[in-house]
Amino acid sequence: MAKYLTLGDKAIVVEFGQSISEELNKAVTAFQSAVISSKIEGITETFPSYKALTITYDPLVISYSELVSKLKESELNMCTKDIKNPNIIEIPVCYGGEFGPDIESVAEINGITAQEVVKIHTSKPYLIYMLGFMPGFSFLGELDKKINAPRLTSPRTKVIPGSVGIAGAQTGIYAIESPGGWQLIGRTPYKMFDPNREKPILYEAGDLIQFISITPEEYIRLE
Amino acid sequence: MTAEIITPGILTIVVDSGRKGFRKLGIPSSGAMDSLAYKTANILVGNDENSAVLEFSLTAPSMRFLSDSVIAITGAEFSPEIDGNPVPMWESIFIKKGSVLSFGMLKSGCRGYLSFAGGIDVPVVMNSKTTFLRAGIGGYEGRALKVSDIITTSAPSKTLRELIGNRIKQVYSYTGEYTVRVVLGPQDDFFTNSGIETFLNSSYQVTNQFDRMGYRLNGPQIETKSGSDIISEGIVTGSIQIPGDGNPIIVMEDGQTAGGYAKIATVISSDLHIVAQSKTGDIIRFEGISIEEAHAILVQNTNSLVNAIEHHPKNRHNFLVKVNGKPYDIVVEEVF
Repeated sequence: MAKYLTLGDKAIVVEFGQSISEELNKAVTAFQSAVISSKIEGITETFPSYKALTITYDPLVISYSELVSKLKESELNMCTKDIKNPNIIEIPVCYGGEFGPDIESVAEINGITAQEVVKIHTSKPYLIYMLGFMPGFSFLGELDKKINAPRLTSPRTKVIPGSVGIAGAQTGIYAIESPGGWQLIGRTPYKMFDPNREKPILYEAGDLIQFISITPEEYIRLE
Repeated sequence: MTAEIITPGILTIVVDSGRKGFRKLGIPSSGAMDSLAYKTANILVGNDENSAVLEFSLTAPSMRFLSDSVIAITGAEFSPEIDGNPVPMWESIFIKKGSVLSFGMLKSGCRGYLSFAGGIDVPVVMNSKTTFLRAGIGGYEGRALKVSDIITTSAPSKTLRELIGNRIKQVYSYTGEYTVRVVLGPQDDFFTNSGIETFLNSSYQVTNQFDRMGYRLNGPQIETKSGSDIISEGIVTGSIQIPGDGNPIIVMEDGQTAGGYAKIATVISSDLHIVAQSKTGDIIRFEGISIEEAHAILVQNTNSLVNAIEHHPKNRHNFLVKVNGKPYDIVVEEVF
């Protein structure tokens, strides 16, 4: 059974456990699907994280006790059909050079070549556990230990949107321009955040990201 | 109706009630910080309460009106003037084409609101007109206003004459010492009993680190059982995070949508406007209430705002005059 916790007078947290695991995260996104399909009147937003679903609601439409009892109903009726077949989002990335200025440093730290970094980074799809921190920033599943790398000692003041980075055992994409301390290994020509697109961000929690290595020429063509 | 910015102030932006539905993508609501003053400003000029207005923080803008307009000024007290003559706040007032609206120094509070009859007309981006500065979207070209920017508005709901003279008593007095009500949770169990007591019985001072993202406070350290790091999860406006230094951070409208610090409590939605009007050196105390009490307060406030507005039509005099023996009914009305 999940835990129901208040988050102020307009939000509730439904917590499924206390660890980072694909299984737990799948329960969270499955619960999100169940809640959305149950169309509970008064719910305004649902947003998943590693181990919990946060739900905002309008207390002028639904009371707290009514909300909790309807959510518990959704939890009980949750079934395998709510576990969504993950979308695989392919992200083309031009690795190294001006696109990924830190790739040599990541390679050196791990005693491998830049080519091997690319090979390992593109070798498997990564589950998106959650988005947050900044628009479209994805918290992805664990990297192969062979390409882990610490954060930069002095963060960049400006990271170009689309940059793909590594910090510790994590990898991610900067969707908007921002400061950042992740080691940059490549960049995607795709516009990760476009407020005027039907889907402003191309992916959401529960999807899988598969990085695909492209050449600088392909980068320019896709840009 | 239009107005041209003469001086923009430190941070003057277009805001509305917020960009809802995108927290799952990492995009916060970015709405008006003081929703009470914001909504009041709209209602006074006959707008839908969710229309776009200007929000200005710590310093105020000045602007020349390029057409006759009806406006209302609410929120922080900045001593507004039209062409050098003081004008009231919390009231819909007429401003003539060519006139200049300006403000004095900040006297109390932190953020002022300026509404225009009809509401500010800027493109809708992801269902909202509000500005999200970090992503450069919404509002006026995704940025704060600059010199010579032109504000345009949509058509007012009534004639300008009918919109003049709506008044409300100042909705809150910005004394610099505030009590803010909170609902404990979701991680109140991360803190010792004495930590919770410290939180609810101490005075916290607003540091110089406060903005639309959040407020860092300083005061007695809040004791945890064994640290305050959690696995990152969703946060909302009003969430009070306690990082390792034991001092509260209140998340505000432009705040991150997820955070990794334990949240001891969340400010109730009815009291967020108080935090929004606080600034460096102000004192905040927290009072714990139940979720049911918070909802009762919300219902009461929702019903009372519109009822509190009074309409005081300006002076009207009816005359019956004869010109060349022909009678005319004349109405003389004060418009400003």
